[in-house]
Amino acid sequence: MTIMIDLIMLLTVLPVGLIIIAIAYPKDWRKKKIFYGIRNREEYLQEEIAEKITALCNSARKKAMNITVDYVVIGALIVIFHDMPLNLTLCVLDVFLYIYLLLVPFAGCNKGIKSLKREYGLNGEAGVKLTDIKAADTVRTFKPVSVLIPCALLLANLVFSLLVDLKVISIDGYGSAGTFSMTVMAGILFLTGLLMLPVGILFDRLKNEVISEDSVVNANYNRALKKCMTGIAVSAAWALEVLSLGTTCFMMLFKSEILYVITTGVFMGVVIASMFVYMFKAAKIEEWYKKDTTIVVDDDDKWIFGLFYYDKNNKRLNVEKRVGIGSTINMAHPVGKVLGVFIVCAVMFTLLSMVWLGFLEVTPIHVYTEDGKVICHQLRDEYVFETNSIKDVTLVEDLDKRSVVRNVGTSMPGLTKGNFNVDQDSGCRLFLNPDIDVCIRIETDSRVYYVSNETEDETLALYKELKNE
Amino acid sequence: MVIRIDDYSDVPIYQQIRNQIVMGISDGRLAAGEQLPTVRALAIEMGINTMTVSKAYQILKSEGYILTDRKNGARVRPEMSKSGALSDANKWELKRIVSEARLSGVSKDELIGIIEEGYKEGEK
Repeated sequence: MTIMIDLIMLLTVLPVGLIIIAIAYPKDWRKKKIFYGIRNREEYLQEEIAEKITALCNSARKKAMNITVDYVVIGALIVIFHDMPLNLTLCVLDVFLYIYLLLVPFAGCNKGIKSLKREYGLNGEAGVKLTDIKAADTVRTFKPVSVLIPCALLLANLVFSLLVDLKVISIDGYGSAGTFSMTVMAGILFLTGLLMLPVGILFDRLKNEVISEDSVVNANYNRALKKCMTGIAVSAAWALEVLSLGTTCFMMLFKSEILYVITTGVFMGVVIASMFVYMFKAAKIEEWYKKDTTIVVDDDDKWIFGLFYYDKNNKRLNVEKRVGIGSTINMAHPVGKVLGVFIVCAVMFTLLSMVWLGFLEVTPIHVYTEDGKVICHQLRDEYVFETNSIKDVTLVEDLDKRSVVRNVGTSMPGLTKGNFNVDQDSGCRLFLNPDIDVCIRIETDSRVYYVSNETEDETLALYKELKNE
Repeated sequence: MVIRIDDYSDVPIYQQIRNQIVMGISDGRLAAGEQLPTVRALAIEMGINTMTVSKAYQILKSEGYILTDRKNGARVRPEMSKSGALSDANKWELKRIVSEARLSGVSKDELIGIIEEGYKEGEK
Protein backbone atom coordinates (compact mmCIF):
# COMPACT_ATOMS: atom_id res chain seq x y z
CA MET A 1 0.00 0.00 0.00
CA THR A 2 2.82 2.41 0.94
CA ILE A 3 4.63 1.76 -2.32
CA MET A 4 1.34 2.39 -4.15
CA ILE A 5 0.84 5.76 -2.38
CA ASP A 6 4.50 6.68 -3.04
CA LEU A 7 4.16 5.83 -6.72
CA ILE A 8 0.88 7.71 -7.18
CA MET A 9 2.30 10.77 -5.43
CA LEU A 10 5.59 10.77 -7.32
CA LEU A 11 4.04 10.00 -10.70
CA THR A 12 1.31 12.63 -10.29
CA VAL A 13 3.78 15.36 -9.44
CA LEU A 14 6.22 14.55 -12.27
CA PRO A 15 3.85 15.72 -15.06
CA VAL A 16 3.04 18.78 -12.93
CA GLY A 17 6.75 19.59 -12.84
CA LEU A 18 7.11 18.99 -16.56
CA ILE A 19 4.11 21.24 -17.25
CA ILE A 20 5.68 23.94 -15.04
CA ILE A 21 8.90 23.64 -17.06
CA ALA A 22 7.01 23.73 -20.37
CA ILE A 23 5.13 26.89 -19.33
CA ALA A 24 7.59 28.76 -17.14
CA TYR A 25 10.78 27.84 -19.01
CA PRO A 26 9.95 28.40 -22.71
CA LYS A 27 12.38 27.09 -25.31
CA ASP A 28 12.07 30.18 -27.48
CA TRP A 29 11.46 33.32 -25.43
CA ARG A 30 11.12 35.42 -28.59
CA LYS A 31 7.70 33.92 -29.33
CA LYS A 32 6.30 34.57 -25.87
CA LYS A 33 4.36 37.63 -24.73
CA ILE A 34 5.72 37.14 -21.21
CA PHE A 35 8.78 35.01 -20.43
CA TYR A 36 10.34 34.43 -17.01
CA GLY A 37 7.93 37.03 -15.63
CA ILE A 38 9.27 39.66 -18.08
CA ARG A 39 7.05 41.34 -20.67
CA ASN A 40 8.56 40.88 -24.09
CA ARG A 41 9.66 44.05 -25.87
CA GLU A 42 10.94 44.71 -29.37
CA GLU A 43 14.19 46.10 -27.95
CA TYR A 44 15.11 42.64 -26.66
CA LEU A 45 15.42 41.38 -30.22
CA GLN A 46 18.58 43.43 -30.82
CA GLU A 47 21.38 40.94 -31.37
CA GLU A 48 23.59 41.77 -28.39
CA ILE A 49 20.88 41.82 -25.72
CA ALA A 50 19.05 38.86 -27.34
CA GLU A 51 22.17 36.72 -27.01
CA LYS A 52 22.50 37.55 -23.31
CA ILE A 53 18.82 36.85 -22.66
CA THR A 54 19.06 33.52 -24.52
CA ALA A 55 22.07 32.52 -22.42
CA LEU A 56 20.20 33.35 -19.19
CA CYS A 57 17.07 31.48 -20.31
CA ASN A 58 19.00 28.39 -21.44
CA SER A 59 20.90 28.27 -18.16
CA ALA A 60 17.67 28.52 -16.13
CA ARG A 61 15.98 25.82 -18.24
CA LYS A 62 18.97 23.52 -17.82
CA LYS A 63 18.89 24.02 -14.04
CA ALA A 64 15.15 23.22 -13.96
CA MET A 65 15.76 20.03 -15.95
CA ASN A 66 18.55 19.03 -13.55
CA ILE A 67 16.21 19.55 -10.59
CA THR A 68 13.67 17.28 -12.34
CA VAL A 69 16.28 14.58 -12.90
CA ASP A 70 17.29 14.81 -9.22
CA TYR A 71 13.62 14.50 -8.22
CA VAL A 72 13.14 11.39 -10.38
CA VAL A 73 16.34 9.75 -9.06
CA ILE A 74 15.46 10.46 -5.41
CA GLY A 75 11.86 9.32 -6.05
CA ALA A 76 13.08 6.09 -7.66
CA LEU A 77 15.37 5.42 -4.68
CA ILE A 78 12.47 5.99 -2.28
CA VAL A 79 10.31 3.52 -4.23
CA ILE A 80 13.10 0.92 -4.54
CA PHE A 81 13.93 1.10 -0.82
CA HIS A 82 10.31 1.44 0.25
CA ASP A 83 10.87 -0.62 3.41
CA MET A 84 13.24 1.91 4.94
CA PRO A 85 12.01 4.14 7.77
CA LEU A 86 10.62 7.59 6.97
CA ASN A 87 9.69 6.41 3.50
CA LEU A 88 6.46 8.42 3.20
CA THR A 89 7.97 11.50 4.86
CA LEU A 90 10.90 11.45 2.44
CA CYS A 91 8.51 11.00 -0.47
CA VAL A 92 6.43 14.05 0.53
CA LEU A 93 9.57 16.11 1.19
CA ASP A 94 10.90 15.12 -2.24
CA VAL A 95 7.65 16.33 -3.84
CA PHE A 96 7.60 19.59 -1.87
CA LEU A 97 11.24 20.40 -2.50
CA TYR A 98 10.86 19.64 -6.20
CA ILE A 99 7.97 22.06 -6.68
CA TYR A 100 9.63 24.87 -4.69
CA LEU A 101 13.12 24.38 -6.09
CA LEU A 102 11.70 24.54 -9.62
CA LEU A 103 10.93 28.21 -8.99
CA VAL A 104 14.50 29.09 -7.99
CA PRO A 105 16.10 29.15 -11.50
CA PHE A 106 13.01 31.04 -12.72
CA ALA A 107 13.50 33.75 -10.10
CA GLY A 108 17.23 33.86 -10.88
CA CYS A 109 16.59 34.31 -14.59
CA ASN A 110 14.01 37.03 -13.91
CA LYS A 111 16.52 38.89 -11.77
CA GLY A 112 19.20 38.50 -14.44
CA ILE A 113 17.00 39.90 -17.21
CA LYS A 114 15.95 42.84 -15.01
CA SER A 115 19.65 43.63 -14.45
CA LEU A 116 20.19 43.49 -18.21
CA LYS A 117 17.31 45.92 -18.71
CA ARG A 118 18.94 48.38 -16.32
CA GLU A 119 22.30 47.91 -18.04
CA TYR A 120 20.76 48.79 -21.43
CA GLY A 121 18.60 51.59 -20.04
CA LEU A 122 15.34 49.82 -20.86
CA ASN A 123 13.26 51.25 -18.06
CA GLY A 124 9.80 49.99 -17.30
CA GLU A 125 6.58 51.92 -16.81
CA ALA A 126 5.68 50.67 -13.37
CA GLY A 127 3.40 53.62 -12.61
CA VAL A 128 1.39 53.39 -15.83
CA LYS A 129 -2.06 51.78 -15.81
CA LEU A 130 -4.13 51.28 -18.92
CA THR A 131 -7.88 50.84 -18.76
CA ASP A 132 -10.41 50.36 -21.49
CA ILE A 133 -13.42 52.14 -20.04
CA LYS A 134 -15.78 50.42 -22.48
CA ALA A 135 -14.72 47.02 -21.09
CA ALA A 136 -15.25 47.98 -17.43
CA ASP A 137 -17.95 45.78 -15.89
CA THR A 138 -19.10 44.46 -19.27
CA VAL A 139 -16.79 41.51 -20.03
CA ARG A 140 -18.38 38.65 -18.09
CA THR A 141 -18.37 34.95 -18.94
CA PHE A 142 -18.98 33.11 -15.67
CA LYS A 143 -22.40 31.59 -15.01
CA PRO A 144 -22.67 30.64 -11.31
CA VAL A 145 -25.21 27.94 -12.14
CA SER A 146 -22.47 25.95 -13.91
CA VAL A 147 -20.76 25.52 -10.51
CA LEU A 148 -23.94 25.33 -8.45
CA ILE A 149 -25.14 22.18 -10.27
CA PRO A 150 -22.10 20.04 -9.26
CA CYS A 151 -22.29 21.66 -5.82
CA ALA A 152 -25.91 20.49 -5.48
CA LEU A 153 -24.79 16.95 -6.38
CA LEU A 154 -21.96 17.21 -3.83
CA LEU A 155 -24.51 18.29 -1.25
CA ALA A 156 -26.71 15.31 -2.13
CA ASN A 157 -23.70 13.06 -1.55
CA LEU A 158 -23.03 14.76 1.78
CA VAL A 159 -26.64 14.23 2.88
CA PHE A 160 -26.45 10.57 1.83
CA SER A 161 -23.22 10.04 3.81
CA LEU A 162 -24.77 11.77 6.81
CA LEU A 163 -27.86 9.56 6.66
CA VAL A 164 -25.61 6.47 6.49
CA ASP A 165 -23.60 7.70 9.49
CA LEU A 166 -26.81 8.46 11.40
CA LYS A 167 -27.86 4.89 10.45
CA VAL A 168 -31.05 6.13 8.78
CA ILE A 169 -29.83 4.31 5.68
CA SER A 170 -28.04 1.01 6.22
CA ILE A 171 -25.54 -0.48 3.80
CA ASP A 172 -24.74 -4.17 4.14
CA GLY A 173 -21.17 -4.82 5.26
CA TYR A 174 -20.23 -1.15 5.73
CA GLY A 175 -18.64 -1.08 9.18
CA SER A 176 -17.73 2.60 9.44
CA ALA A 177 -21.31 3.85 9.88
CA GLY A 178 -21.46 6.13 12.89
CA THR A 179 -17.82 7.22 12.65
CA PHE A 180 -18.75 10.16 10.39
CA SER A 181 -15.53 9.68 8.43
CA MET A 182 -17.40 9.60 5.10
CA THR A 183 -19.55 12.55 6.15
CA VAL A 184 -16.43 14.56 6.95
CA MET A 185 -14.89 13.58 3.61
CA ALA A 186 -18.10 14.45 1.68
CA GLY A 187 -18.34 17.72 3.66
CA ILE A 188 -14.79 18.71 2.75
CA LEU A 189 -15.43 17.93 -0.92
CA PHE A 190 -18.70 19.90 -0.85
CA LEU A 191 -17.02 22.94 0.73
CA THR A 192 -14.15 22.71 -1.77
CA GLY A 193 -16.71 22.55 -4.58
CA LEU A 194 -18.52 25.54 -3.13
CA LEU A 195 -15.20 27.40 -3.04
CA MET A 196 -15.16 27.20 -6.84
CA LEU A 197 -17.99 29.75 -6.89
CA PRO A 198 -15.92 32.68 -5.50
CA VAL A 199 -12.93 31.43 -7.49
CA GLY A 200 -14.99 31.62 -10.71
CA ILE A 201 -16.29 35.07 -9.77
CA LEU A 202 -12.74 36.28 -8.97
CA PHE A 203 -11.46 35.05 -12.34
CA ASP A 204 -14.41 36.66 -14.07
CA ARG A 205 -13.79 40.02 -12.42
CA LEU A 206 -10.10 40.25 -13.17
CA LYS A 207 -8.94 43.51 -14.65
CA ASN A 208 -9.33 43.51 -18.41
CA GLU A 209 -6.00 43.68 -20.15
CA VAL A 210 -5.53 46.40 -22.74
CA ILE A 211 -3.79 45.16 -25.86
CA SER A 212 -5.23 47.54 -28.45
CA GLU A 213 -6.77 50.98 -28.91
CA ASP A 214 -9.79 49.15 -30.33
CA SER A 215 -12.25 48.41 -27.52
CA VAL A 216 -13.85 45.55 -29.47
CA VAL A 217 -10.49 43.77 -29.72
CA ASN A 218 -9.88 44.27 -25.99
CA ALA A 219 -13.33 42.98 -25.09
CA ASN A 220 -13.07 39.88 -27.29
CA TYR A 221 -9.56 39.07 -26.09
CA ASN A 222 -10.50 39.38 -22.42
CA ARG A 223 -13.76 37.46 -22.91
CA ALA A 224 -11.86 34.56 -24.49
CA LEU A 225 -9.24 34.52 -21.72
CA LYS A 226 -11.82 34.74 -18.93
CA LYS A 227 -13.82 31.90 -20.47
CA CYS A 228 -10.67 29.78 -20.18
CA MET A 229 -10.06 30.79 -16.56
CA THR A 230 -13.62 30.34 -15.33
CA GLY A 231 -13.66 27.00 -17.16
CA ILE A 232 -11.05 25.80 -14.65
CA ALA A 233 -13.39 26.54 -11.72
CA VAL A 234 -16.29 24.74 -13.43
CA SER A 235 -14.13 21.71 -14.34
CA ALA A 236 -12.75 21.51 -10.81
CA ALA A 237 -16.29 21.54 -9.35
CA TRP A 238 -17.33 18.65 -11.62
CA ALA A 239 -14.10 16.74 -10.91
CA LEU A 240 -14.80 17.10 -7.17
CA GLU A 241 -18.30 15.74 -7.69
CA VAL A 242 -16.89 12.69 -9.51
CA LEU A 243 -14.34 12.20 -6.72
CA SER A 244 -17.06 12.46 -4.07
CA LEU A 245 -19.22 9.95 -5.92
CA GLY A 246 -16.24 7.62 -6.44
CA THR A 247 -15.25 7.85 -2.78
CA THR A 248 -18.78 6.98 -1.65
CA CYS A 249 -19.09 4.08 -4.09
CA PHE A 250 -15.69 2.54 -3.42
CA MET A 251 -15.60 3.02 0.35
CA MET A 252 -19.25 2.34 1.18
CA LEU A 253 -20.51 0.00 -1.51
CA PHE A 254 -17.37 -1.83 -2.73
CA LYS A 255 -15.31 -1.32 0.46
CA SER A 256 -12.11 -1.07 -1.54
CA GLU A 257 -9.41 1.30 -0.30
CA ILE A 258 -7.22 0.56 -3.35
CA LEU A 259 -9.99 1.68 -5.71
CA TYR A 260 -10.39 4.81 -3.60
CA VAL A 261 -6.66 5.59 -3.87
CA ILE A 262 -6.84 5.00 -7.63
CA THR A 263 -9.90 7.29 -7.88
CA THR A 264 -7.97 10.01 -6.04
CA GLY A 265 -5.06 9.51 -8.44
CA VAL A 266 -7.41 9.71 -11.44
CA PHE A 267 -8.99 12.85 -9.97
CA MET A 268 -5.56 14.49 -9.64
CA GLY A 269 -4.74 13.43 -13.17
CA VAL A 270 -7.99 14.87 -14.54
CA VAL A 271 -7.46 18.18 -12.70
CA ILE A 272 -3.89 18.46 -14.02
CA ALA A 273 -4.97 17.50 -17.54
CA SER A 274 -7.78 20.05 -17.55
CA MET A 275 -5.35 22.73 -16.30
CA PHE A 276 -3.05 21.79 -19.15
CA VAL A 277 -5.89 21.98 -21.68
CA TYR A 278 -6.95 25.43 -20.46
CA MET A 279 -3.37 26.68 -20.46
CA PHE A 280 -2.96 25.40 -24.01
CA LYS A 281 -6.17 27.21 -24.97
CA ALA A 282 -4.92 30.42 -23.31
CA ALA A 283 -1.63 30.15 -25.23
CA LYS A 284 -3.62 29.78 -28.46
CA ILE A 285 -5.66 32.89 -27.60
CA GLU A 286 -2.44 34.85 -27.01
CA GLU A 287 -1.13 33.66 -30.36
CA TRP A 288 -4.38 34.53 -32.09
CA TYR A 289 -4.42 38.08 -30.73
CA LYS A 290 -0.70 38.71 -31.26
CA LYS A 291 -1.36 40.48 -34.55
CA ASP A 292 -3.91 42.77 -32.87
CA THR A 293 -1.61 43.70 -30.00
CA THR A 294 -0.55 47.30 -30.45
CA ILE A 295 -0.11 48.37 -26.83
CA VAL A 296 2.60 47.00 -24.56
CA VAL A 297 3.21 48.47 -21.11
CA ASP A 298 6.32 47.28 -19.32
CA ASP A 299 5.25 46.81 -15.68
CA ASP A 300 7.89 44.20 -14.79
CA ASP A 301 8.99 46.19 -11.75
CA LYS A 302 5.66 45.42 -10.09
CA TRP A 303 6.53 41.71 -10.20
CA ILE A 304 9.02 40.47 -7.60
CA PHE A 305 11.00 37.64 -9.23
CA GLY A 306 8.26 37.60 -11.88
CA LEU A 307 6.12 35.62 -9.44
CA PHE A 308 4.77 37.94 -6.75
CA TYR A 309 2.76 41.02 -7.66
CA TYR A 310 3.41 44.07 -5.48
CA ASP A 311 1.81 47.41 -6.34
CA LYS A 312 0.77 49.68 -3.51
CA ASN A 313 -0.98 52.05 -5.94
CA ASN A 314 -3.31 49.28 -7.10
CA LYS A 315 -6.37 48.82 -4.91
CA ARG A 316 -7.23 45.49 -6.54
CA LEU A 317 -6.63 42.34 -4.55
CA ASN A 318 -6.31 39.90 -7.41
CA VAL A 319 -4.51 40.33 -10.69
CA GLU A 320 -3.90 38.05 -13.64
CA LYS A 321 -0.98 35.68 -13.22
CA ARG A 322 2.17 36.08 -15.26
CA VAL A 323 3.01 32.38 -15.27
CA GLY A 324 0.28 29.88 -16.05
CA ILE A 325 -3.40 30.67 -15.95
CA GLY A 326 -5.63 32.21 -13.30
CA SER A 327 -5.05 34.98 -10.84
CA THR A 328 -2.66 35.85 -8.07
CA ILE A 329 -2.85 38.29 -5.18
CA ASN A 330 -1.47 41.79 -4.87
CA MET A 331 0.98 41.47 -1.99
CA ALA A 332 0.75 45.22 -1.30
CA HIS A 333 -3.00 44.97 -0.58
CA PRO A 334 -3.77 44.60 3.17
CA VAL A 335 -5.68 41.36 2.50
CA GLY A 336 -2.84 40.24 0.23
CA LYS A 337 -0.37 40.72 3.08
CA VAL A 338 -2.52 38.64 5.43
CA LEU A 339 -2.95 35.94 2.76
CA GLY A 340 0.79 36.00 2.06
CA VAL A 341 1.60 35.42 5.74
CA PHE A 342 -1.07 32.70 5.85
CA ILE A 343 0.40 30.93 2.80
CA VAL A 344 3.93 31.08 4.24
CA CYS A 345 2.59 29.69 7.55
CA ALA A 346 0.67 26.94 5.70
CA VAL A 347 3.79 25.90 3.79
CA MET A 348 5.90 25.94 6.95
CA PHE A 349 3.20 24.01 8.82
CA THR A 350 3.08 21.34 6.09
CA LEU A 351 6.85 20.93 6.09
CA LEU A 352 7.02 20.83 9.90
CA SER A 353 4.14 18.32 9.94
CA MET A 354 6.15 16.09 7.64
CA VAL A 355 9.15 16.33 9.95
CA TRP A 356 6.89 15.64 12.96
CA LEU A 357 5.32 12.59 11.27
CA GLY A 358 8.79 11.33 10.41
CA PHE A 359 9.82 11.82 14.02
CA LEU A 360 6.74 9.88 15.16
CA GLU A 361 7.57 7.08 12.75
CA VAL A 362 11.04 6.51 14.18
CA THR A 363 10.02 6.95 17.82
CA PRO A 364 9.35 3.49 19.33
CA ILE A 365 5.97 2.78 20.90
CA HIS A 366 5.69 1.29 24.34
CA VAL A 367 2.72 -0.38 26.08
CA TYR A 368 3.08 -1.28 29.76
CA THR A 369 1.11 -1.68 32.94
CA GLU A 370 1.62 0.52 35.98
CA ASP A 371 -0.47 1.07 39.12
CA GLY A 372 -3.35 -1.00 37.76
CA LYS A 373 -3.41 0.89 34.47
CA VAL A 374 -2.47 0.00 30.92
CA ILE A 375 -0.49 2.86 29.39
CA CYS A 376 0.17 3.24 25.66
CA HIS A 377 3.11 5.62 25.42
CA GLN A 378 4.85 7.33 22.52
CA LEU A 379 6.33 10.75 23.31
CA ARG A 380 3.34 11.12 25.64
CA ASP A 381 0.70 8.84 27.17
CA GLU A 382 -1.70 8.31 24.26
CA TYR A 383 -4.18 5.87 25.79
CA VAL A 384 -4.62 4.99 29.44
CA PHE A 385 -7.25 2.61 30.83
CA GLU A 386 -7.79 0.68 34.05
CA THR A 387 -6.81 -3.00 34.02
CA ASN A 388 -9.96 -3.85 35.98
CA SER A 389 -12.06 -2.39 33.12
CA ILE A 390 -10.72 -5.12 30.80
CA LYS A 391 -13.36 -7.68 29.84
CA ASP A 392 -11.36 -9.81 27.44
CA VAL A 393 -7.79 -10.13 26.13
CA THR A 394 -6.93 -12.10 22.99
CA LEU A 395 -3.82 -12.47 20.90
CA VAL A 396 -4.37 -11.55 17.26
CA GLU A 397 -2.04 -13.02 14.66
CA ASP A 398 -4.00 -12.25 11.50
CA LEU A 399 -4.64 -8.54 11.69
CA ASP A 400 -3.17 -8.07 8.21
CA LYS A 401 -5.92 -10.33 6.85
CA ARG A 402 -8.69 -8.36 8.52
CA SER A 403 -10.42 -5.26 7.19
CA VAL A 404 -8.78 -2.28 8.90
CA VAL A 405 -10.28 1.08 7.92
CA ARG A 406 -8.92 4.30 9.35
CA ASN A 407 -11.37 6.86 10.69
CA VAL A 408 -8.95 9.31 12.27
CA GLY A 409 -5.31 8.74 12.97
CA THR A 410 -1.89 7.85 11.63
CA SER A 411 -1.13 4.90 9.40
CA MET A 412 2.54 4.77 8.53
CA PRO A 413 4.92 1.92 7.76
CA GLY A 414 6.17 1.69 11.36
CA LEU A 415 3.18 3.07 13.23
CA THR A 416 -0.59 2.63 13.29
CA LYS A 417 -2.28 4.86 15.79
CA GLY A 418 -5.76 6.29 16.13
CA ASN A 419 -9.42 5.49 15.61
CA PHE A 420 -10.00 2.59 13.21
CA ASN A 421 -12.65 0.05 12.27
CA VAL A 422 -11.42 -3.53 12.46
CA ASP A 423 -13.90 -5.95 10.86
CA GLN A 424 -17.12 -5.44 12.79
CA ASP A 425 -15.43 -3.55 15.68
CA SER A 426 -16.06 0.10 14.84
CA GLY A 427 -14.29 2.98 16.57
CA CYS A 428 -11.40 0.83 17.89
CA ARG A 429 -8.25 2.45 19.25
CA LEU A 430 -5.18 1.08 17.50
CA PHE A 431 -1.71 1.57 18.95
CA LEU A 432 0.65 -0.83 17.29
CA ASN A 433 3.69 -1.49 15.21
CA PRO A 434 2.27 -3.02 11.99
CA ASP A 435 5.66 -4.52 11.10
CA ILE A 436 5.31 -7.28 13.69
CA ASP A 437 2.94 -10.21 13.21
CA VAL A 438 1.08 -10.19 16.52
CA CYS A 439 -0.98 -7.75 18.49
CA ILE A 440 -3.31 -7.85 21.46
CA ARG A 441 -7.03 -7.23 21.26
CA ILE A 442 -8.21 -5.73 24.56
CA GLU A 443 -11.92 -5.29 25.10
CA THR A 444 -12.78 -2.88 27.89
CA ASP A 445 -16.07 -1.62 29.22
CA SER A 446 -16.08 1.33 26.86
CA ARG A 447 -14.13 0.32 23.74
CA VAL A 448 -11.83 -2.14 21.97
CA TYR A 449 -8.05 -1.60 21.76
CA TYR A 450 -5.57 -3.28 19.44
CA VAL A 451 -2.09 -2.74 20.85
CA SER A 452 1.39 -4.08 20.40
CA ASN A 453 4.85 -3.26 21.60
CA GLU A 454 7.82 -2.42 19.42
CA THR A 455 8.88 -6.11 19.18
CA GLU A 456 7.04 -9.42 19.07
CA ASP A 457 8.68 -10.69 22.29
CA GLU A 458 7.68 -7.59 24.23
CA THR A 459 4.12 -7.92 22.89
CA LEU A 460 3.88 -11.56 23.94
CA ALA A 461 5.24 -10.67 27.40
CA LEU A 462 2.59 -7.95 27.74
CA TYR A 463 -0.10 -10.40 26.62
CA LYS A 464 0.94 -12.89 29.33
CA GLU A 465 0.99 -10.15 31.94
CA LEU A 466 -2.50 -8.93 31.02
CA LYS A 467 -3.83 -12.47 30.80
CA ASN A 468 -2.51 -13.25 34.32
CA GLU A 469 -4.06 -10.10 35.75
CA MET B 1 -11.52 53.89 -25.31
CA VAL B 2 -8.25 53.46 -23.48
CA ILE B 3 -7.35 55.64 -20.48
CA ARG B 4 -3.73 55.88 -19.47
CA ILE B 5 -3.07 56.70 -15.82
CA ASP B 6 0.39 57.46 -14.53
CA ASP B 7 0.70 57.02 -10.76
CA TYR B 8 3.96 58.97 -10.71
CA SER B 9 2.69 61.96 -12.73
CA ASP B 10 2.38 65.41 -11.12
CA VAL B 11 -1.16 65.63 -12.51
CA PRO B 12 -3.69 64.21 -10.02
CA ILE B 13 -5.36 60.97 -11.12
CA TYR B 14 -8.87 62.47 -11.22
CA GLN B 15 -7.52 65.17 -13.52
CA GLN B 16 -5.88 62.58 -15.76
CA ILE B 17 -9.21 60.73 -16.03
CA ARG B 18 -11.10 63.96 -16.71
CA ASN B 19 -8.61 65.09 -19.38
CA GLN B 20 -8.65 61.80 -21.23
CA ILE B 21 -12.43 61.51 -21.23
CA VAL B 22 -12.63 65.04 -22.67
CA MET B 23 -10.10 64.05 -25.35
CA GLY B 24 -12.13 60.89 -26.03
CA ILE B 25 -15.32 62.92 -26.51
CA SER B 26 -13.49 65.44 -28.68
CA ASP B 27 -11.97 62.90 -31.09
CA GLY B 28 -15.10 60.76 -31.24
CA ARG B 29 -13.82 57.71 -29.35
CA LEU B 30 -16.69 58.40 -26.98
CA ALA B 31 -19.84 59.07 -28.96
CA ALA B 32 -22.50 61.59 -27.98
CA GLY B 33 -24.97 59.96 -25.58
CA GLU B 34 -22.66 56.98 -24.98
CA GLN B 35 -22.96 55.26 -21.63
CA LEU B 36 -19.97 55.53 -19.31
CA PRO B 37 -19.16 52.87 -16.71
CA THR B 38 -20.41 53.40 -13.17
CA VAL B 39 -18.06 55.06 -10.69
CA ARG B 40 -17.61 51.78 -8.83
CA ALA B 41 -17.02 49.68 -11.95
CA LEU B 42 -14.43 52.10 -13.31
CA ALA B 43 -12.69 52.40 -9.94
CA ILE B 44 -12.49 48.61 -9.58
CA GLU B 45 -11.28 48.21 -13.15
CA MET B 46 -8.57 50.85 -12.68
CA GLY B 47 -7.66 49.69 -9.19
CA ILE B 48 -8.16 53.16 -7.71
CA ASN B 49 -10.39 54.70 -5.07
CA THR B 50 -14.05 55.28 -5.99
CA MET B 51 -13.76 58.85 -4.67
CA THR B 52 -11.14 59.61 -7.34
CA VAL B 53 -13.43 58.50 -10.17
CA SER B 54 -16.37 60.22 -8.53
CA LYS B 55 -14.43 63.49 -8.44
CA ALA B 56 -13.51 63.16 -12.13
CA TYR B 57 -17.16 62.55 -13.04
CA GLN B 58 -18.29 65.50 -10.93
CA ILE B 59 -15.87 67.81 -12.74
CA LEU B 60 -16.96 66.46 -16.13
CA LYS B 61 -20.58 67.01 -15.15
CA SER B 62 -19.99 70.54 -13.89
CA GLU B 63 -18.13 71.36 -17.12
CA GLY B 64 -21.06 70.04 -19.15
CA TYR B 65 -19.33 67.10 -20.82
CA ILE B 66 -21.40 64.35 -19.23
CA LEU B 67 -24.84 63.87 -17.71
CA THR B 68 -25.48 61.78 -14.63
CA ASP B 69 -28.66 60.54 -13.06
CA ARG B 70 -29.53 57.80 -10.61
CA LYS B 71 -31.39 55.71 -13.17
CA ASN B 72 -29.07 55.77 -16.16
CA GLY B 73 -25.70 56.43 -14.54
CA ALA B 74 -23.22 58.59 -16.45
CA ARG B 75 -23.52 59.32 -20.16
CA VAL B 76 -21.73 61.60 -22.59
CA ARG B 77 -23.88 64.68 -23.15
CA PRO B 78 -25.75 64.21 -26.48
CA GLU B 79 -25.24 67.82 -27.50
CA MET B 80 -22.41 69.91 -26.21
CA SER B 81 -23.09 73.56 -25.49
CA LYS B 82 -20.67 75.34 -27.80
CA SER B 83 -19.80 78.72 -26.33
CA GLY B 84 -17.27 79.39 -29.08
CA ALA B 85 -14.72 80.63 -26.56
CA LEU B 86 -11.90 79.11 -24.58
CA SER B 87 -12.05 79.34 -20.81
CA ASP B 88 -9.47 81.56 -19.10
CA ALA B 89 -7.81 78.49 -17.59
CA ASN B 90 -7.46 76.89 -21.02
CA LYS B 91 -6.16 80.13 -22.55
CA TRP B 92 -3.54 80.26 -19.80
CA GLU B 93 -2.67 76.57 -20.42
CA LEU B 94 -2.36 77.22 -24.16
CA LYS B 95 -0.06 80.17 -23.50
CA ARG B 96 2.09 77.95 -21.33
CA ILE B 97 2.29 75.32 -24.07
CA VAL B 98 3.16 77.96 -26.70
CA SER B 99 5.89 79.37 -24.43
CA GLU B 100 7.39 75.94 -23.79
CA ALA B 101 7.19 75.10 -27.50
CA ARG B 102 9.00 78.34 -28.39
CA LEU B 103 11.69 77.67 -25.77
CA SER B 104 12.09 74.12 -27.09
CA GLY B 105 12.60 75.44 -30.60
CA VAL B 106 9.27 74.25 -32.04
CA SER B 107 8.22 76.50 -34.89
CA LYS B 108 4.86 78.26 -35.10
CA ASP B 109 3.90 76.21 -38.17
CA GLU B 110 4.77 72.98 -36.42
CA LEU B 111 2.59 73.90 -33.45
CA ILE B 112 -0.28 74.95 -35.69
CA GLY B 113 0.17 71.62 -37.50
CA ILE B 114 -0.30 69.77 -34.22
CA ILE B 115 -3.42 71.81 -33.45
CA GLU B 116 -4.80 71.11 -36.93
CA GLU B 117 -4.12 67.41 -36.44
CA GLY B 118 -6.15 67.52 -33.22
CA TYR B 119 -9.02 69.22 -35.03
CA LYS B 120 -8.87 66.63 -37.84
CA GLU B 121 -9.03 63.75 -35.36
CA GLY B 122 -12.18 65.27 -33.89
CA GLU B 123 -13.79 65.60 -37.32
CA LYS B 124 -13.28 61.91 -38.22
